[in-house]
Amino acid sequence: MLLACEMNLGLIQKAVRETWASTLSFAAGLFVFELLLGLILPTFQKEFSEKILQMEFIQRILAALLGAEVGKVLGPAIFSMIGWIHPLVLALIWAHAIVVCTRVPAGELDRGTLDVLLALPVTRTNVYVSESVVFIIASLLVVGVGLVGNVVGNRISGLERAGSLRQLSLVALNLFALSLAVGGLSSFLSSVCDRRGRAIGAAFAILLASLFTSSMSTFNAIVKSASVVSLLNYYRPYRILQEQSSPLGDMMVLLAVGTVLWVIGAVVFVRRDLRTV
Amino acid sequence: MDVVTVERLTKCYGRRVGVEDLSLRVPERMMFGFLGPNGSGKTTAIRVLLGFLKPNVGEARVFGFECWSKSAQIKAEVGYLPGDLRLPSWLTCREAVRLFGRVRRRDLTKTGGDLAEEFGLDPNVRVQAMSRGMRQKLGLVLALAHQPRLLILDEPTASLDPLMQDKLYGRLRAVVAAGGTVLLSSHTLNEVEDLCSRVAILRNGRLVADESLDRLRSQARRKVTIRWQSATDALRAPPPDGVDWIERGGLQWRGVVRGPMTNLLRWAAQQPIEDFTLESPDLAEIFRGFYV
Repeated sequence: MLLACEMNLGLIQKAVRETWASTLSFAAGLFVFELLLGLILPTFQKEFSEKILQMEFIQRILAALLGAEVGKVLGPAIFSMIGWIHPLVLALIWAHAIVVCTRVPAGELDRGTLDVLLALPVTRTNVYVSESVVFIIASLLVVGVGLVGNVVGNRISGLERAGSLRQLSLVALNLFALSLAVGGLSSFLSSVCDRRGRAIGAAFAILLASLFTSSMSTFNAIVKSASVVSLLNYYRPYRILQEQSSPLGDMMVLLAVGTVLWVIGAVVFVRRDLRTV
Repeated sequence: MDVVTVERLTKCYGRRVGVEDLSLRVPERMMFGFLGPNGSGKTTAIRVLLGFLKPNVGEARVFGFECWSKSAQIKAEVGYLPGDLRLPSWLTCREAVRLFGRVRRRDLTKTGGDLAEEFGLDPNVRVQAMSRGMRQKLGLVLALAHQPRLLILDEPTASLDPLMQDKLYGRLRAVVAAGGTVLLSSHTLNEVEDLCSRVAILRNGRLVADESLDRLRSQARRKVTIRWQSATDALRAPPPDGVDWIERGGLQWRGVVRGPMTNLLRWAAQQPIEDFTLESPDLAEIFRGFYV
């Protein structure tokens, strides 16, 4: 309700006009990748389980990627999951969140258009909230299109699905929560930086560190204890698809992190001096 | 009533001073000139007025509202053209007017369209394909379209051709005639002299003058040139008081008049002078004096 009061239709229209192309590109990219993965993976499944997965080294790498131990047989759960934990999928989701959420204020400051924007009769909170609303909807669209691609790919290839559509939807919601957390982080960094490049660089550095921590946690006890601060520690499709557990706790953590960072970003943006650079 | 009130305003960027102890009042229905060399603090003061920067000390008010906390209310009645205007590259004039109208919750299509036509701006060309002058015109359309009570213009004629400058001057005079106020920051001294009735001059972040143009003119020293009928007359004539002579020899004398003109005119009437020229006060020289 409070957020709705802070929205401005003109600002939303501007944000949509400036982000629709990138949002559609990311959504299309994710759809095509999920579709192709769904079509191609079944051809590898048997061979992969019989030969490659027997190597302990490969098992550990898969465990690092999935955040869970895998057996010696590659079941449908794991195969379905590749479409959700593949680095390209994560990269697309992160890149979309970072590209959209660093536009204001860092992007506008950088290109010098913030003067004209803030000379309009709107508060900075109006600007921040309107931009964020557009991001939330865009992110939902990208993840939703990815889910459709995954389901369609599986259907066409006849791959036995590990989970019901409900479970796949829960994975997608978990991914959506991850996207919102990255969006909150990016909004915060955008508020504290005068240059968009710096905000983007910092966001990617933090996410890569998060990916590294999560991946290495299966190899090292110290890294494992540190992985509690990694965002990816709260995105676990394997648990949803294989163990059928609820992602609610993980989603709450991601949403809480995203919200806290987003609110800090808003406070910084509202209080700081703004000079185009 | 004062539209803009600035009281003992200081704004620093770290150790660097933007403006220091600035006090200023801009009355309603006035074209107010804001002058100063680059880095003198004009843009900083404007940014404080628009709520982009928070003052370290002092306060700034527009229409009686405090600029930092009531920025959105103030800007509903303010039109602003930044010195270094940048607009999103995808915008056309038509889209910009529609979009800005939606943000302002007003239909600006009619006024925006009329202004675009007056300035000779094609409403369908994208910003990325516009020349600097065209972008400036679009900035002016967007600043004027909602018929603001206060116009803040930072170097508005920088990229405009002389014909367009005249059109803009006419439009600004009309704004003031209709009860509006214009705060015009400019380097073009002639422009300020032609348009403004009062000027404030900043130097190194401090206010060095805040005077009406008439008062400045009265302070200005006039240049006098005298051409004698013959060199002998020139040699014989006793120089009058109240003139600092720049050149005094041969057939022509040139100097600058100090104080009232009466003495000089009375003296000249009694001399065998062929030609006597008094130049109008050179405000540019006064401005330059404040700048240095």
